[in-house]
Amino acid sequence: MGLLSDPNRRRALISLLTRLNAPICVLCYFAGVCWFMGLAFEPFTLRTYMSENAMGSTMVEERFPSGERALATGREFAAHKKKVGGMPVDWLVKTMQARGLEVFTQSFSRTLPFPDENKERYIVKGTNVYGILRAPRAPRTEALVLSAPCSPGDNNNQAVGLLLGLAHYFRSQIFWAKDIIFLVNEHDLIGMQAWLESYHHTNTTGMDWSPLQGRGGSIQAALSLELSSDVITSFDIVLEGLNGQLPNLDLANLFYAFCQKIGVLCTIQGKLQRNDWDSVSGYSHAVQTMMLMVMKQASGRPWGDHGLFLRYHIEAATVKGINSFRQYKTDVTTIGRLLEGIFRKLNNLLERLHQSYFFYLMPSLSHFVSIGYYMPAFGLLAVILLLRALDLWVQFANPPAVTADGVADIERQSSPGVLSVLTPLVISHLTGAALYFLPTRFQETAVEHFPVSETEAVVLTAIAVYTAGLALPHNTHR
Amino acid sequence: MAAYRCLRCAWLLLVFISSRYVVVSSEETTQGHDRVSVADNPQTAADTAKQPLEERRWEATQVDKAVPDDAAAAAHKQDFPVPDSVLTPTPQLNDEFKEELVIRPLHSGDIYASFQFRTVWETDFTRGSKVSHYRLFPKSLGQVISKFSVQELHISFTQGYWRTMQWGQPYHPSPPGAELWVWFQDTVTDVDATWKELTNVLSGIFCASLNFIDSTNTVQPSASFKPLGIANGTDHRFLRYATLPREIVCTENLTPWKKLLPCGSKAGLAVLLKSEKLFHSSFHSQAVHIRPVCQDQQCKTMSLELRQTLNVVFDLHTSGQGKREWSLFKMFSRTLTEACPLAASSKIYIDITDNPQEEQFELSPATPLLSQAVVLGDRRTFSVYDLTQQVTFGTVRSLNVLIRWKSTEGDMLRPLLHAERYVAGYGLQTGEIHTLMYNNHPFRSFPVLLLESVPWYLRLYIHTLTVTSKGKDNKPSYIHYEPSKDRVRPHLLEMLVQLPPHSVTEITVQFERALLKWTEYTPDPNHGFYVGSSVISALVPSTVAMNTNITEEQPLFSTFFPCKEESSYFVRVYTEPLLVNLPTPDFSMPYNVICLTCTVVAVGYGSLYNLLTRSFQIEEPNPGLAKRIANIIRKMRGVPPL
Repeated sequence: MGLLSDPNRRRALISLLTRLNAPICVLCYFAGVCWFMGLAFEPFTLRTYMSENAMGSTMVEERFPSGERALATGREFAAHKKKVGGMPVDWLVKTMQARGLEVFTQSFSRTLPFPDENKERYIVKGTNVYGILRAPRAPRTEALVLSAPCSPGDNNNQAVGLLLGLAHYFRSQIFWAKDIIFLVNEHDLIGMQAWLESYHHTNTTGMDWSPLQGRGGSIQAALSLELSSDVITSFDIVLEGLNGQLPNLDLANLFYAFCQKIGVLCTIQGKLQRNDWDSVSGYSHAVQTMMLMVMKQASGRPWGDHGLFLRYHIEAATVKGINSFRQYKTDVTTIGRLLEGIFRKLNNLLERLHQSYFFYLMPSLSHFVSIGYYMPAFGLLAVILLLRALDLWVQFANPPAVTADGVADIERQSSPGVLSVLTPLVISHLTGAALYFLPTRFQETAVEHFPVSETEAVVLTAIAVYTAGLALPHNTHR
Repeated sequence: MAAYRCLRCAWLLLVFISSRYVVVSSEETTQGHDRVSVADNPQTAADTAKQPLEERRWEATQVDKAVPDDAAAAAHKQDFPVPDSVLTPTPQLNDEFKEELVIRPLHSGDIYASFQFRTVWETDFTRGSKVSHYRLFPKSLGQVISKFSVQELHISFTQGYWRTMQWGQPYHPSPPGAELWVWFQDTVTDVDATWKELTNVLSGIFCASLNFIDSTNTVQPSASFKPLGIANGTDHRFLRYATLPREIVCTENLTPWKKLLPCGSKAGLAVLLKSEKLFHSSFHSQAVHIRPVCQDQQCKTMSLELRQTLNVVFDLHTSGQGKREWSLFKMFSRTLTEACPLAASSKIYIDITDNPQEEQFELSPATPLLSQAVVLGDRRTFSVYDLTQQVTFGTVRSLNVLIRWKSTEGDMLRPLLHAERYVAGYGLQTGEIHTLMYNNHPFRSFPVLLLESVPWYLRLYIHTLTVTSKGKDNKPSYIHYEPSKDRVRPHLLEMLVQLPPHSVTEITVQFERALLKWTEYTPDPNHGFYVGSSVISALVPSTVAMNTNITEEQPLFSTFFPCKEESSYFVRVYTEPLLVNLPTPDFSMPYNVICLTCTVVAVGYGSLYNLLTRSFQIEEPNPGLAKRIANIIRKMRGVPPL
C-alpha cells in the first residue's frame, strides 16, 4: 500500500509492468506449467492417508468363501440373459428372494434425442432389479449400494454373479448397521439415472420411471462393480463423475488400503504405480496418470455408473476388474473378500465420508495432490489475464506521449465508447445462446428437409452458427 | 358408547363358554377396545372330550381373570347362556400377575416372540392416598405415578424397524428409538414442568437418554393418542408425546426393565430374557404401559394395570445355519422349567392358524390345548402350553417348544395398511418429505389419522402440503397444524385422511433446512439429524369381516349375529424415521477464519489506515549534495538558504 501511495514508485511499477509485460506473462506461464508438472514428481506430493477415524485401522476380517459359487451364479445369469435377450428380471427377482433379500423392480423408459448407435432406436426401455438387505435392529435410515450393470453381450456376467454371491454371504452376517442395496441396472447410465431419480424423487432428465417401492434411507456410499472375466490381474478404480465431480478421497484410500492388505494389484486410470519415480520414464508415467485424470474430469461426463451418485452427495466409485497378460492372477474369492472388506468398513462409518479432500488429483494411487497444491499453478496461469488487462488499461488511461509527430493526439480524441465494448459482448452472448438452443431446435427441420441424420444435423447447425458468426461485421472489422 | 359398553359388559356376566377361552388383547386400541372372541375349535373337539376335568379348571380361572381386563373397555360378543357355576367369583386378591408368551412363525421363515407381563393392582393413586405397601407392583414406578399424578404412561424402547411387508402387523407397534406418551391427571397445574421432571426420573429408572426430551421434541397431539384406560376427559392439554428416534436400546435398558417384574429374571417366562440372544435378532422392542382399568363390571373400583411387553423377531438367515427350525433353546438359549410362582397364569401361545394340518411347520411337543382369538382383525388359532400345569413340562421337567419348518418361505405380505416415508430431492437447501400410505383393501376405504412431528430445523412450507390418492387431490377432513418456533417447539401436523380402497395416498410437504448455530450441532453433524417416525392410527376393516363366505365351517354361535364390533380393528403404524443432512460448516473453519482475519487485519487494515490518515504533499526534488552543504554553511552564517 505504501508502494501504491507513492506516485513515483507507482509510476515505476506501472512502467515496469507495461514494459516487461510480455516477458512477465511468459514467465508466469512457464512457472505455472512447471509447477503443475512438478506435482507429478513424487517427492513433491503427499502420501495418501485415511482421514476418517471410523475406517482407520484395518480391523475387519474378510471371510467371503464362495467365489466359485458366485461364478456359477454368473454363468447361470449369462444363460438366462441370453435366453431372454436382455435383463432376466424374473430370474433375478427369484434369485435375490432366495438369498433372503427384499426385492423390488423398477421400470423406466427414456426417449432419446438421437437413435441409439447400435440398435437404431429412439426409446430405451428397461427394468432395474434391486434387493435390499435389511440390517438387523437398524431403523432404515442409512444404506450402502453395491451395483452391477447388466451390460449387453457377454460383459459383466461375473460382476452380477459376484454381487449375488456377496448378497448371499452378507445376508447371513449379523454385523450390518446399514441396509445394503444390491442393484442390477439395465442400460448402464440410463438405468442408474432412472433409479437414482426415483430414489430421490427428482426428475432432472425428463425420464419416465415407475416409483420405487422399497427404500433404505439416505445412501451413504456406493460402489459399482464391473467384472467380465473369471480371474483378474488387476483392479482399477474410477473416480471421475458427472461434471468432473469426485468422491471423497477416503473412498480411494479405502480401496487402496484393502488392495494392499489382500495383495491385489490396483490401478488408477488403468496405470499401475511404479517405484522408479526418480527415473524419467517413472516420472512421465506419473504425469500421464495425472493428466488423464485432468482430462477425464474436464470432459464432464461420468466415467462409470458411480458418476451419477455424486450429484446426490453420495460418495461413489466404480471398480473394474481387468484381465491382461500377466502371470499373477486373482480369483473371484479374493475380489469378494476385497469388496467385503470395503463394505464392512463403510458399514462402520458413523458419519458420511467428509473428513478427507473432495478436490484432488492423483498421480498414483498412493499419492495425491490436494487443491492447495494445484491451485497456485492455476493462479499463475490466471494472473496472465490480469496482467494483460492491466497493461491494456494503463495504455488506455495514459497513451504513450512519446510521439513527436502528433499522431498520439489524434488517437486520444477517439477514446473507446461504451458501445464499442458492448457490441462484442452482446454478440458473444448471442452466439453462446444460439449454440445452446439452435442445434436441438433445428434438428427436426434439418432432418425433414435435407438428407442428413440427426447427429449430423446437430454438428452442421453448430458449424452454421460459427460461420454466421464469422460473417458479422464486428469480427471482420479489425 | 359408554352405555353400549355397559351392555356388553353385562353380556359378559351371563356368558360362559363350553370349551376353551382365551383373551388376547391388543392394548393399542385408542378407544380401548379389547376385542375378544371365543370360539370352539371343531377340530379338537375329540381331544377336549378326553380331558374335560383339566380343561374345566383352566377355563374357570381364565374367566375370572378375564373379567377385570375386559371390563376396562371391552366389547364382547359371546351370545349364549352360561352355567351358573362360573359366576360365583373367587375371592379377589389385591393384586395379581399374569405372564404369557406368544410365538408367531412368520411367512418369511423368521419367528416373532412377544412376551407380555401384566400386573393388576386394586389401588387408587388419584385420591391422594399414600400408598406404601407394594407387593407385585414395582415400587419405583408406583412412586413415580403418585408423585407426578400420572394417569397413563406408555413408554417403549425399540431397536430396529418392524417390517410390515414381511412380518405383518405387530401385536405392540412401536417406533424405532424411544417413545414416551403420558396422560396427566387433570389436577396437575403445571404440566410442562411435571413432564420435564418425569422424563428425567424415567431416564434414571430405565437407564435411557429420556432426559433429552424437552420442549423441542414434545408435542400435544389432539387426536392421535387417546387414553387407553378409563379416563374422565380427553383434554389434550394433559397429554405429552415425545420420541427420540436416535435412542439406542441395549442391555442397560433391558436390565432395569426386567427388574420391574415380580419374579425378576429368576423364574417363569422371564428366564428366557437373556440379552446375548435378545440382541442377536432382527427386531427388539420393549415397553411399559401403565393405565387405570376397572376392577369389575360396574367399574366401582379402579385398579392400576402395568403391562410390560417385549417383542423380538429372530432372523432365519443369520441364526438358521441351514436348519430351518426354531426352538426355545435356540432362540433364547434357555428352556423353561417352571412358571413364576407369583403368577396367576403363565402360558405360551403358538400361532398355528396358517398351519392347521401341519403342512407348514411341525410343532413339538404337541399340546392338546387350542384356543382362538381375534387378533388384529383376524381370527387366529393358537396352541397353548400352560406352565402352571406340571404335565406341560413332561418327564424331562423342562419345556423346549420346537418348530420345524417344512415349506419354503413365502412371498411378501400385503398388509391392509402400511406406510413408508422418505426425503426427496438433493442438495442441502430444500427437500420434500413424502409419506406414502397404502390401503390394500380391495373394496373398502377407511380413514386414518396421520401425526407428523417434525423438528424446527426443518422449516416446513405448509402451503406446499399436498395429499393425493389415485392421482387426484384428496382433501383431508381434519387438519391440526401447530407451526414450529425456532429452538422452542417442533411442527405438529395431524390430519384425518380417507384412504380409498386399493390405493396409495401420497402426502408431500416441502421444507427448508435451517442453518444452526455452531454450538447447536451434534458432535457428529455429518451423520445427519433425525426426524421421528410419523404415526398413523386407523380403524382398519378386519379380515374377518372381509370373509363373506358363510358356508365355511365356523362355530354356529359366532356367525348368527352380524359382527359389528369386529368389522374394523384399530392399528397404529409407524413409518421409518428420517435422517436428514443439514448444511454443516467445516468445523475447522474457526481456525481458518482466525488465521484469515489476523492476516487481513495485520496487512490490509494497517496499510489502509496508513493510506487514509497520511497527508500528501508534493515533495521538492532532492537538492544536490553541494547545494545542501552550501545551505548548511549559509544557515550558520545566518543568510537565507538558496
